[in-house]
This record gives sequence, C-alpha cells and structure tokens, in this order.
Amino acid sequence: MTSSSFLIYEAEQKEALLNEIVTVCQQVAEGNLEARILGQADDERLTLIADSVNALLDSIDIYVRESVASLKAASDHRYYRRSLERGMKGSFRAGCRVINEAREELRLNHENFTKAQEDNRILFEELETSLLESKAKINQAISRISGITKGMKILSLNAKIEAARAGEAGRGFAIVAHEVEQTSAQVSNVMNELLNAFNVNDVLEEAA
Amino acid sequence: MREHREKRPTMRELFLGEEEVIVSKTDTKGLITYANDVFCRIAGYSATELLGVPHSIVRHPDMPRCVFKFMWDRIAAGHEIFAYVKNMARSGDYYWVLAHVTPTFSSQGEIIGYHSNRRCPARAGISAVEPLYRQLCAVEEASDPRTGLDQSLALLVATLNATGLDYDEFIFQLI
Repeated sequence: MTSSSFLIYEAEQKEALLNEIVTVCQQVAEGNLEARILGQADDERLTLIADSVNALLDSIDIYVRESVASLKAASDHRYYRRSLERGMKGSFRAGCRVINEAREELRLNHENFTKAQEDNRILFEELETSLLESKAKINQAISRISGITKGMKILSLNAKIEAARAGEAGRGFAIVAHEVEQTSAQVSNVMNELLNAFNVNDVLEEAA
Repeated sequence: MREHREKRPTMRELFLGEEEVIVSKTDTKGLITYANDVFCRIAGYSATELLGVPHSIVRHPDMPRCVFKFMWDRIAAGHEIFAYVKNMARSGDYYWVLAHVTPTFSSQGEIIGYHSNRRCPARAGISAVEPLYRQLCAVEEASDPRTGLDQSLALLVATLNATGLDYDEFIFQLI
C-alpha cells in the first residue's frame, strides 16, 4: 500500500466509524439498547467516543436488566433477588440502592400482611368455636322451653276437664285454663321466631 | 484460534475492579457479537479477535463442564442465572468473576441472543464454590465425557438439593 492510498484507507475507516456512531446513537434514541459500536479506526478521539457510548449503553442495559429482574422477583415474593450495586457507577448505583430500599419495604409489608392474615385466621377460628358453643347452648334452651310449653298445654287440658266437672262453679277456672293454653301457644310462636332470627348455621356461612 | 487451544494455565491471578464490569453479548449459539473494553483488557484479546468466536475462548480447565451445561439450560429456558466462574486470559493467567447471564428477547418474546456481565466476585463466594468445582471436575475426568457430564450434573443437583434452597436462593447467599 502506498502512503497516499494508506491515507485514503485511514480516512475511509474514520468516516465509516463516524457513520456507525451516528447510526448507533439514533438506534439508542429509539430505545434500542442492543446496538453497540463495533467498528474501529486509528483515531484517538473517535475511539474514546465509541468506547464511552458503548460503556454508557452497557450501564443502561445492565441497569434495566437488574431493575426488571429484581422487581419481577419481588412481585413473586422472591425478595432475596436484590438489584446488584457492585459494578454500577454513579447514578446507576444510586438507582439500584433506591430499588433495593423499596424492595425491602415491599418485603416488610408482605411479612406484615402475611402476619395480619394469620391473626385474622386465628380470630375467625376463635369466633367460629364460640358461635358453635352458643348454638349448642341455644339448642339446649330451646328444647327445654319446648318441653315446658308441652307441659303447659297438658296442664291447660287437664284444667279444662277439671273445670267441666266442676260445672257452673268451674266457669271462671275454664277461662284461666284457656288463657294458659293461649300463653303456651304464644311462647311457641316466639320460640319459632327466635329460631328463625338466630339461625346459627347461616351466621357461620356468611362469616366464611 | 489455534493459539487459544495451546495456551497453558498459569498460577497468576488477575483482578477486576469493584466498579468494573466485563460485558459481552453473544448470539443464540454463544458466538461473541460484542465485547467491551474491560473484557478485551483483562482477557488480553482485541475486540476484533473476540468477535465471532465462541465464548469458551476464556474457559479455564478448572471449570467443570456441568456448570456451563446448567447455565445454558437455564438461559435457553428464558431465565437469568448467576454463577461464579474462573476464566483464563490469553496469557494463561486466571480471573474469577461473578457472571450474570440473561437472555435478550425480541419484541415477539423470542430469545435472540444472550447478554453476559461479569462483576468482581466476593472472595467468600469463591471459597465456597472452589471445593465443589474441584469435586465436579474430578467426577468429569473419571469417566468418558458424556457419562462424566451426566454424573457431575447429578452431583451438582444433589448438592443443591441438600442445601434445601433453589439455585437462585443458594447463589444469592454467596453474592
């Protein structure tokens, strides 16, 4: 190669590198982080520009990959996947630190939430147990009351028979016997209302 | 790259700076499509020499093959992976790195290549993996290449299972 053709070769190389730098910068401006300057030329300043643009792209590329990976992991509750600060420079390192602090907050929130959920579960179990106990007690009381009202019905029937046998003298007594029968029927009604209003099974199902 | 095959490992260690990162990109076959200046400097190759050659150009004979198999399986499935790797420079000198390999996806979600960055490793992490790597290498050397790889991979998986952690959780304890 003659000295003049070598000069032309060098100039062409620089021109090609310059064009590549322009193309890569345009691609990056469009959001393409894959582009890199691969060409070379015997020019100190052009080489510095190319290396610096590549280094900047590498930093952005790594920062994006780290941020995406650590945030994605945090949303899967894999909080050990922190954003690595080592190897990062300046603002990139600071950004990683902020992400890690936020990730730690998320971890603590998740821990508290899990604990609150567990507390609620225990509370619900206790509530369920006490409701079941109440239900059993109410059932017992209801069956006792229903025994009493049955007794009252028989009692009023016997009183009516006795009143009939007493003839005219028993007329007032018959009215009382009728009242006793009415009262026992009222107690039965109130008991049924109570049964409907206080259906323990429904209460449990709604709470679940 | 005849020269690469003939190089002999030395006992001299090279070190990455705390704020330095070796960066490379490869196509889906592992052929280098980009190498940053830190890579060129520490490995002792020019960018032109590295372009188009397999990433294994910096592979050190002390590295068990099953680790790379494990890494490839993970990244080919679309996951990221961290691993401690001992590499060999052109001079035969070695350097330890904490490698982080991630797939690069097209806008359609297909893997179009891999991005690898290598950070300055934690010395405690190296001390933890070195004996395991020696053990894995011994298993690989004891049999024919295929059987050796199967057996060392099984040993690696068994060792991980014994820790009760999945691989990512295990490695993050060493970072």
